Amino acid sequence: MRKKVTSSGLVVAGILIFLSSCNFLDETPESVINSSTFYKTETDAVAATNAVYEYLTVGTEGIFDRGFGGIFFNDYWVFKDILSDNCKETIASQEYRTLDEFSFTAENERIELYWQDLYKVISAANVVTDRVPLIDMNTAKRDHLVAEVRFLRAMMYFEAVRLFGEAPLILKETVDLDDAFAARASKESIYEAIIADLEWSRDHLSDSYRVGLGRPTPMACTALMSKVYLEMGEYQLSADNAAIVINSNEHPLFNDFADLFKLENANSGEIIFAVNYSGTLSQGFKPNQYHVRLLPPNLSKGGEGPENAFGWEVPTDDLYNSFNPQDRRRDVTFITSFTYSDNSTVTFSPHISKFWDQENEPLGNNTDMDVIYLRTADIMLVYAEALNEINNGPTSIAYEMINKVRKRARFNGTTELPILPDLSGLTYQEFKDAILLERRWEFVMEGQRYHDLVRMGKLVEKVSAAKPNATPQSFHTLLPIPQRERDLNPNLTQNDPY
Amino acid sequence: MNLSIARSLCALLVLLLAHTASAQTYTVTGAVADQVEPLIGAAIAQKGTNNGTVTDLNGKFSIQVPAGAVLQISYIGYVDQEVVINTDRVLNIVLQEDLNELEEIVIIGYGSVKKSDLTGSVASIKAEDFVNTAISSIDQGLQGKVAGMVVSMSSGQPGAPSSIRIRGTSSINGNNEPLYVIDGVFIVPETNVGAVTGPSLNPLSNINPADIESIEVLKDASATAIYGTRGANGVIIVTTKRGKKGSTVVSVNYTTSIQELRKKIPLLNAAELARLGNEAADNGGAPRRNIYASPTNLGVGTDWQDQIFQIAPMNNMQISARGGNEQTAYAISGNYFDQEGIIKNSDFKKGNLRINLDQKLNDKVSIGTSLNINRSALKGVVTDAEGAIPSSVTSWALAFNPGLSVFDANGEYTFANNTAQPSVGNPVADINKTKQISASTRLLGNIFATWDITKDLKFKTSIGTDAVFLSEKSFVPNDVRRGEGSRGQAALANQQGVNWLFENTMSYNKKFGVHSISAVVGHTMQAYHNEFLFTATSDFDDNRLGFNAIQVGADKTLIFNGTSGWQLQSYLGRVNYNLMEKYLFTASARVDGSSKFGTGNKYGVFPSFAFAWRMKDETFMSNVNTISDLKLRVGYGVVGNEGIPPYSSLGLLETTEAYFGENEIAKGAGPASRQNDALKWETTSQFDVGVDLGLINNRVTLVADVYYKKTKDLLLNAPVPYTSGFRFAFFNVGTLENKGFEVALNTVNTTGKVQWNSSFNISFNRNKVLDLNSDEGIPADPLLGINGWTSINAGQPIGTFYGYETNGIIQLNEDPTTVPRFADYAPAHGDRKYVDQNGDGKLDELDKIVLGNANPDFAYGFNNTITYRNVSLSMFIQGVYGNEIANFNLFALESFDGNQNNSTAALNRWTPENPSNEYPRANVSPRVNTFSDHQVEDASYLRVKDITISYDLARLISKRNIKVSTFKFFVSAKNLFTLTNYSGYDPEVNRFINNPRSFGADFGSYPTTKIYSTGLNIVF
Repeated sequence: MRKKVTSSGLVVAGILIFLSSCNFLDETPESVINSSTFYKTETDAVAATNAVYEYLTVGTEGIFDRGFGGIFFNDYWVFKDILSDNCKETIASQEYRTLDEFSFTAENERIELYWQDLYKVISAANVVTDRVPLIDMNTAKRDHLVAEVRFLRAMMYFEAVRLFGEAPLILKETVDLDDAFAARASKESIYEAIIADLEWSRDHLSDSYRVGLGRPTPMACTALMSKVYLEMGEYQLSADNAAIVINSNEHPLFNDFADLFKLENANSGEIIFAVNYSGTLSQGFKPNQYHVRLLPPNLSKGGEGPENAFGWEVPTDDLYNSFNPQDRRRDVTFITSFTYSDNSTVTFSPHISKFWDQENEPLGNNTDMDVIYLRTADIMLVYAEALNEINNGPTSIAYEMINKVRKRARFNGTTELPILPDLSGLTYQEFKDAILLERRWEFVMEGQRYHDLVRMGKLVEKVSAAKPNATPQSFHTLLPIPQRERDLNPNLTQNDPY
Repeated sequence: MNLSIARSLCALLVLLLAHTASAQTYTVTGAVADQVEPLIGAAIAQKGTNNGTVTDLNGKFSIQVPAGAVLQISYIGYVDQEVVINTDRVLNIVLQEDLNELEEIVIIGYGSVKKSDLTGSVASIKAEDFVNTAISSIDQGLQGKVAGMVVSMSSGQPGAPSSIRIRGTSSINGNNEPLYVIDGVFIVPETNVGAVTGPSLNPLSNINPADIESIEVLKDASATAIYGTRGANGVIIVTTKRGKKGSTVVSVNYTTSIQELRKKIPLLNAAELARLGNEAADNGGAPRRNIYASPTNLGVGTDWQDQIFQIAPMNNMQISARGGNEQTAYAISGNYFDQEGIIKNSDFKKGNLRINLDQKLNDKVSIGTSLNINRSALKGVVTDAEGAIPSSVTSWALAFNPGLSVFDANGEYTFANNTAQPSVGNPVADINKTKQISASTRLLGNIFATWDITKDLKFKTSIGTDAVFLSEKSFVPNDVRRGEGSRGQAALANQQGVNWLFENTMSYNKKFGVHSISAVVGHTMQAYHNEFLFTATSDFDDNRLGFNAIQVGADKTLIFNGTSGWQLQSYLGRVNYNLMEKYLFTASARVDGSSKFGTGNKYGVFPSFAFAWRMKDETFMSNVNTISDLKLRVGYGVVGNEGIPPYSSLGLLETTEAYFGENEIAKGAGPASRQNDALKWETTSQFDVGVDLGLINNRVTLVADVYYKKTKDLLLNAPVPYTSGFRFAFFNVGTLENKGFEVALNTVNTTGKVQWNSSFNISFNRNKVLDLNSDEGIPADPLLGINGWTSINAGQPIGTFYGYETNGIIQLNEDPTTVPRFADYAPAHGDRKYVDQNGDGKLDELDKIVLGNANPDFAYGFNNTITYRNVSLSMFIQGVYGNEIANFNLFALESFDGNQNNSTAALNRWTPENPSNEYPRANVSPRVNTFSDHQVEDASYLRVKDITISYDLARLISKRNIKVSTFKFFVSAKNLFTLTNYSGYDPEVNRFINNPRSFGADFGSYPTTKIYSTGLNIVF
């Protein structure tokens, strides 16, 4: 009996040992990619790079999330104009209203999501800059991919430093979570990193592999550097870089301001770099919100007029009335009436319609329109502004730059009108004011106005004049660090006095 | 099967013939009765032999026995008697009812013990509780039955699941439902792929309640630690009926019921809404709307609730047969259940087949199987689907303009409401045209073998599976509002999930003098693998084929599939040591390994210890006659939770898509989750002290327990700084506690002709989050765009509501400009006031306070059963007290803006003539969705859960020579009466089923019902 017990015990024990010896508890996901088996091939390198572009456009959490959309989806252009004298908010949501009225706090969810989207892109870019160089592949292609994401990372830090001032500067993948609990880095070190990224990018972007169409070019790096140096107060470097862009003539001005926003001109001509969207290719899932947010509501009738439009951001009277009525840009930028095919016409207060290629997308809604990030007129005015600073007054090239922009505005599509005469004989301050005004007319809803007002020290003055309800103060030249981030990361200080 | 029946018939024959063959015996005759009447079917056996018989319909028996034989007389529910046969040849046996439950066997994990030997906190529920009730799944039958267990019905959708919490909510991101072990198989509660909207299929519906022999609820850690990682939320062990040696018992049950809505929400009629709408327009400075012109002419209009609700039938029928002989025992059953919902066009149907077999191969080896096959199909309407905007048909019925009729002048369905944009659809059209079906085919069972290696040493091996084949189909046609944007949409999803479990255990039982030992050791392996496929199309020109031909949809963009799985491997052991039948010691441990955790952290060790002292058996207690039982128990154990998704510790990538130019789709792969090799078990340690007390010969029994549970290393998908690239990441952080007190009291109030038994239980649990990784709370899923209406914060219980405190209405003698205001709204006379908590003169996030919480202060159940001869009456009362619900329906019902229909609260709105201090003025553009104490309602309730009267005709029928042991006819009512202050359809509601982050919302739910049933239960 005892023997039998012992032997059966051994059999059972044997089975158990056999069973537990195999790697029964290993996890091998089959329908999702595990990062530990990725970043090995050229295909992986391209995929990792491409991902960064989605985070620019669509954001982090997918279509059904509260924070759907990367910054270019809407907030890049909405923020800069409602945080200014250009536009006001009609949506009921307090989050945007308080931006419009300058009563926002560190709890503001839109500011939090802006921050989130910046660092999502930065983190995905850091994965590429850390891991792609280790992949065994063609060196030039590999460098090109890294150069693409370093350009995008520079874009994000340029946003961060202008909106938040000092900010965590993270340039490596946060393998150890502790690294994410970084303190804020000085503005100087952030600018240094931006310039380093852009120079590296400029020097490593290939002209034969993945060129353009929403991907950066060496010229885009140079153009962005001119803007970055201008913000840094490095006017000579700004002018030098701007000069390269202008003199190359790679991106000549369109003759007609209206051409900028025609779908057929996407990624061409004056447009140096645009964040690409496609309502068509995404089957309507991932277009930006230009038409939804800006076009006038309630016009859709019998298959005509923009569908799904809400007119959430509308121009201030101050903006609309600042234009010369014959300025081509007023005509292109705004819509004040709509005529149906039966010739009935409705009129309404001005709404922003410059991104609406009415011929190609009569119903608005799912658009193919890109978000233009860099275009020649911008660089020309940057050039002019920098030269005015260097020489403590406008130079002839400075006049040439601004007058070319004004000349185009005189062209109404068929002829040049006798308005907006060429500027001359201005003092330093007069020229600076002229640049600010010209930029206002030129770049409505193009992500510029808040930065222009802050850079030129006019935020409080101009907003107070345009928006009686708003209460801008000098500290509003920076946004608050999101409270959520400060709750989670005790190393983050707050911008005074938020 | 025929073989087994034939065998049992043979066995019977042998029994009948036995006495004719024996010599030198006497014929003993007699009668067996209790204090009231003869007992039919009582067993008479000659001790130590196979000789035996049973009493006939008059309680009489006759048996041949040798002189000096000992007869054992037994009957279920009565104390056995032994009689030595000397000279007396006619016996009149009176059996005493067995009030002593201490000899009952209680199933515990990987074994069983006598109830008197229990050291942990375990509650037992017997089969009787599940007969004669109109329930589709066992969870419904458990409500209010066990101290410390709160069962909440979350939806009235037939076939929808409920949620069960044993001793509180102990996990935030892990699972909080108890582990279900059905005949030794751990079931997998995954029954949702996502192609349908609203409640998913109840994972427990695959078990026919009538098949159940007993249910054990393991509550404290000393009882559950043997289940290691799955023990943190308690364990519910379900044991189904098995065949026994003896004649075949056939049981037939049929129950038919009707169900109705418990109450309607009182709404405005068409004229009242029009007057409100006009007043709202006037107050808001907007033009009056044409639809509200001449209110009086609009009359009462359509009652949209009447249009969607109905009185609905429910039928449940089953048949089972059980029996066996010396070698073979069997139990087979079939069940069909068919329930229509109280919302038209919703229903639930299921069928079950079960086979349980046991076969002795020889003296030492037995084999057996338990096998259940189930088919369930739930047809739903869209409810519990609210997010940013109402989309459930109940919300639509409440919001729809009563001034519109179901059909327009052309006889077509009125398409949508005409009071606001974006409009809600016609709920009648929607329930008739939108189709949603979830169906599952499920195989649950095991095969097992036991080997008695020696008298004391036993080996058991078992292989089990729970295989779920799920299909979901939905179709929204292009001609209802829901399908307008997509021009019709269809979705199909299929999922196959197969779970297998292989367990080997060795048990040892031995008594040495005053010491007895029972021990078990084992090894188990379990794996789950699932595959799903989801496809959806939209843009339908033709609605006729619906989800049966989704290729009709022109837009075929959505298709995805996936697969996932997990594995567990465990080593377990337990020793029970019993000293002098007075001192009981238990120690157990389980070493569990889970694939879900980081490399190096896969294994966890979960030990427990318990001690019980049977004080009653001490000599100093032997003279205390009123105390018939007294036992003190103390236990401590550590259990784990691994209820997180597979691959949570890995850094996974997501597929991305960007566009370069007009032609190039750029697919990519970006980081979607953070790799965390340190991810490990969440552990709950629990300390329990209990007392079991019996008084007056155990006519009064009381079980009381106090416990303290602390969960640490919470598996939290917790917020991390965005600078990490993620919003959330899984890691182990934070602690929370549950502490409580629970009492179960059973009394036999009268015996004899009128038997009256009562049972009462009550439990108090207090939950508190002790700490999280930061002050940043874990917010709820937003509803109506309201974020943070509940959130999980350190120092507060899970389920705490946060919002503004109301402060009455601005009256005419007040200056509205001095009232604290939100930045986006200038209040006027008649608007609601809110308290500026921090006194900074404005209302904002900082003024939110705790408004209540969704956890009850206590939950209770109280059952009374009175039996007189063949008639039995039982009444079961159940309730909870002190919990709140966030009633999101009120935002629409009390909008007072003329944009939707309102409840009759609108009739009491503020006007200069009616200076209400509770309800604000009508206003077409009020400040919307301000979450305040006004939406947080007391959800306490006391409910007459069940009243049943049954009458057993067996005796009457038997006199006509038809052999039946039970012929019971009954009528019952469920939820007949509910006492509550809650203004919604029903206080038992939970929009986000089983999501502890969003606990306690009512919004567009499917109301629970009142049920009236009648039925028949025949056993022969």
